[in-house]
Amino acid sequence: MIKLLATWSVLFVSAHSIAYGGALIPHNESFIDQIGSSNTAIVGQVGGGNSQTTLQGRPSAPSFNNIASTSQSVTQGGSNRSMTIQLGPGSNISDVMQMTTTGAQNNALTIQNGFANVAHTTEIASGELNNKSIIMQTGVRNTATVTQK
Amino acid sequence: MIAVRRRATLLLILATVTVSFLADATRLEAAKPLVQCKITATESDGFLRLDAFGRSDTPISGSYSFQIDKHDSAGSSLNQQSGDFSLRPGVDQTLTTVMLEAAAKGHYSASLLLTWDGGKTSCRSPSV
Repeated sequence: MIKLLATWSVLFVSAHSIAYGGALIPHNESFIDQIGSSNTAIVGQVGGGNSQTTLQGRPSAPSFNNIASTSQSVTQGGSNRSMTIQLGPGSNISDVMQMTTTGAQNNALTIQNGFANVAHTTEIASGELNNKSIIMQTGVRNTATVTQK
Repeated sequence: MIAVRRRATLLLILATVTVSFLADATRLEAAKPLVQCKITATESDGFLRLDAFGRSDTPISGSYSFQIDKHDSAGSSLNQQSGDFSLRPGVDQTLTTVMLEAAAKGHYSASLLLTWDGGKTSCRSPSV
């Protein structure tokens, strides 16, 4: 109960459609804001364009052991955009998986600070130079893995 | 006779000051820590692993900044990592680790900067 009270989450998800090639392709947008510890945010988006923002912790509020997992796949049209920000003492995990098969772009930004954070970003695109990833980590014993294909 | 004594006294004072100055300079030089950094790149299980190391001959603390910039046909990635370090004497200490896909070999540029009170050092990979 205390944990539930300590955890304040805002989850905003919207999905709308855009016309693409005469067909309506869903565009997904999601925003998650979590304060407290041991939060988990799992987002899966499939459509014509995906946008995801996950915020966990605040500089002024203790927050650790958070997990942010974002999986995005563009099937037609738009691009994948992901932003994950995890602030606090550490032990946060960010896992971003982006895939496009249509020549669209993958964009991922991950920011973490604290101790022993882990950031994984995997991007797969069919076209060249369509993957862009930025990972910024401050603190101690953080690790980052970026895989692009 | 008095002139000779005065000259001898002056020479003695000059020699004492010179020796004292050289001794202080030697102590200052000896007190300066030897801090080194290095970046290693190893391939393993389909990944290119970049480790940032620090090494010192005396216990020392400071901060590090590690940046990896990669551009290849698969895309671009920028990794910026920073934090504090505390080195034990004579030990290669891992500061941070970044993993890229193995195909990134030859397409990345990594730089490591260590700063501490009174000094800094840097290194690059691939070394130039």
